[in-house]
Amino acid sequence: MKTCQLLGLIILFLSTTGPALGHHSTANFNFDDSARQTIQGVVTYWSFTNPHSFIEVDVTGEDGSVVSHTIFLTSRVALQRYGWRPSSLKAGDKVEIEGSPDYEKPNEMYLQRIVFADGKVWRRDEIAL
Amino acid sequence: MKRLIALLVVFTSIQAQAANNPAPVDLTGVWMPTAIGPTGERTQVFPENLPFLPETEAGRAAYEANYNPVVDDASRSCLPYGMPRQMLVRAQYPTEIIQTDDRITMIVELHNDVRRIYLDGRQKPDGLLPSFMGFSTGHWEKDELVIETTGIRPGGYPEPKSTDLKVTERIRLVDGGDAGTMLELKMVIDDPVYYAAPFTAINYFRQYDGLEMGEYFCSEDLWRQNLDGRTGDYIPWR
Repeated sequence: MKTCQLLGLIILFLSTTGPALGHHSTANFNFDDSARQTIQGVVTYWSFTNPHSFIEVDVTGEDGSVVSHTIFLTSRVALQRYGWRPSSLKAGDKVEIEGSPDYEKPNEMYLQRIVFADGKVWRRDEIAL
Repeated sequence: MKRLIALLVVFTSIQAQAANNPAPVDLTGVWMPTAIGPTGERTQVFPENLPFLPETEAGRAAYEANYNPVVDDASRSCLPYGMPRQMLVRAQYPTEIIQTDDRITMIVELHNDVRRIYLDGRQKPDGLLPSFMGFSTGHWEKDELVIETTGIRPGGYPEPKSTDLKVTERIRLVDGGDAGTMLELKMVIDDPVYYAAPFTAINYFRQYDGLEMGEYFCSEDLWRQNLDGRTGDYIPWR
């Protein structure tokens, strides 16, 4: 989609440096690159919506225990411009997600990079051509 | 002959007046905020070393004592930011500007809100209740649109606003180089209750081929949760 490709040329991301310039409270997340965490798991719920989309992922530990993680993204209207669709994710998809963790809640992150079930990768700050 | 000359003078003066009536520029378009300014350099919205916090002692005390985002941030209940913050966001939500003879209408995608700037010289009506966007009037100074806004509703995101808040904007089109024509918005925020002096914020907007406005209803997540039967474990957006 032309619009998405063109917009992909821009680095536009919610910034938490200085005064909060994004809406709602992304100040809950630690956006230092060094703080990023990566999980692999199975999607159990995909909410493609405004104001913030989110994904719930079951991560199975080595001991077999399953922990549900919640990964937040930006709004549907913004994600659509970057090529996201309702069909981008569904329950059962195996995904890898790298995110900025919540300062307080151990299993919540803000999405920075995702490897979809089909192997395609999307980065929040990617310059696409 | 004298009569003919008189008629000619009257005629040309009417033509001159008609030529002054059209606005010097047309701001109509769908404009996306951008952190990259017209010179290709990254820009800051706010002046250096100015946290968007009150600068007077009284203001700071009031802010810290009373301002609680959970309670006071209207955007947590999906109400709009309103002025001045609405024009200063850098997030990826466009603003549509529709310029007509007597007004400029702005539709902001973030929170789906509408702002009207009256160009017909009207005054703020008596008894007009404060609103999120306030009451705005504008006039052209050469190629700049100068807007004054008062009547802004106190409270909201993320900063406290008094009923004395006055916002003055200067909007003009500038050459953005590779980014094409850009819109420059310079805003003076004057709130003597919370700030020791007025200060200037600046934001830039650009256009993209094919960019159109989308629909953004902040409360949709609540509804979606309801439809999915998740009212028991809804994750409140902070």
